[in-house]
Amino acid sequence: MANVRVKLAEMKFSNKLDDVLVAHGLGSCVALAIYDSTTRIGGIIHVVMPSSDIQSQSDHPVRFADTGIPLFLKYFMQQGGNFASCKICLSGGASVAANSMFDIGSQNVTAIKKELSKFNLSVSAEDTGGSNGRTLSVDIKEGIIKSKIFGSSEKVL
Amino acid sequence: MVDENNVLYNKIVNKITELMPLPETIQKIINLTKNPDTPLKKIADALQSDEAMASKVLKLSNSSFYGFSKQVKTISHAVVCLGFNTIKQMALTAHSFSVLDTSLDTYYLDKGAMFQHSFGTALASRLLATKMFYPNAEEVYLMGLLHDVGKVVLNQYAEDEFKEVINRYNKGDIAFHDAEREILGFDHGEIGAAVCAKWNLSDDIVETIKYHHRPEEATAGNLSAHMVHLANIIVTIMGIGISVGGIDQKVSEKSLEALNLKEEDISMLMMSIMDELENDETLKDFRNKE
Repeated sequence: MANVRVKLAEMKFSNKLDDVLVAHGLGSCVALAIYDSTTRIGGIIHVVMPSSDIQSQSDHPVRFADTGIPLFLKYFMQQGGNFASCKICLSGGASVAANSMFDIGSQNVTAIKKELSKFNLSVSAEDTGGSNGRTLSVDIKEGIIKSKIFGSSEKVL
Repeated sequence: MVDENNVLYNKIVNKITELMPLPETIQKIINLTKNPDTPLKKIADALQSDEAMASKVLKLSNSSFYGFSKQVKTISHAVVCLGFNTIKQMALTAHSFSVLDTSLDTYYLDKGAMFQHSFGTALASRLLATKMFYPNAEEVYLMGLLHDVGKVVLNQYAEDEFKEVINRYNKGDIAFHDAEREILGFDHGEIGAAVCAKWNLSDDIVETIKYHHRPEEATAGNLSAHMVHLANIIVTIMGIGISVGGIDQKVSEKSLEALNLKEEDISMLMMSIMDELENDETLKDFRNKE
């Protein structure tokens, strides 16, 4: 089994049955996992911020929900992924309690859902919010998407 | 303040010299730089006597932050171009990288995560210092790098007590460093400050590391405490080397006020941190092989 890391502001896809895609260290960042059970194509995008407005001509579209999610979905289709048979899950999006200036986590979750709705897609399951750090994984062979909070047990989404 | 009769604290502090020795070369450089009249050649000679350290300092001298148009090829050249305070900080930085390239099981931090978090906080601290036109941005970088060095010590010396800290934290309604204080009577900032004091580092460094989770208690006018406090929070929020405490940290309003930071500044800072993390060669040059 090969763990394939999806780091900050990266997106990766796989259809190799021994791959497990993993996004470690999710704080306010949100990782979106997609898995198509018919073609066994899975992918993760590790989004850092909600809007690319702050960097108008960004060389890094994957950093932002509004530019990263459309790109991710486009690549998913190009790889042969099918929206009709796919499952989409979210993990991360934590926030610092009692300070709205640092509430990037919930803004990320909202922005991602808004982008998904433009493709008539919605989230099947999510483990988001609070102040915990998380890890999201997609097991390509089993089609299982899991979210784990540091120092506690993982759950299947 | 930690109680001076705290048995565990005293036991740990007494072990620091043994646990975290400062290489002789650096001790020598620190002593030499205390006298502003020390000839630059003496500093260069001291550094050159330690080849591995000299090579690391040269690599740091050639990082893009210093912006030299030509490569700095010799230590003598580096000392002349950068001055001895910067050279001292570089030697300390190079040494700190090796100290921090470790895993911390008690904090659920693997080897890469501790290094990444310290390095990210160093970059973010320096970005804030530069934004504030702070006169010694490199020293703030070093503070950012060393802010969690106390965790390295606690990880080795307080493993059993830490189980209680984690249990307390898991009960909720408490930030991780407050759980440390409640159970141990001190937090990792205080141990980190003790390490820096043993290393004979400046009072500013010692104080900033001590109060990086509660900068409002630092001396009024110590801006670096606010810089490192916010840098640590921003890097943690981004998930860079995030550990068992998650991102549940108290943001000091006083720090936001002192640095006059707005929401858009935080976003811009996050962008700059990512740019620097992508472009900085340090990670490649200084990470030990895993």
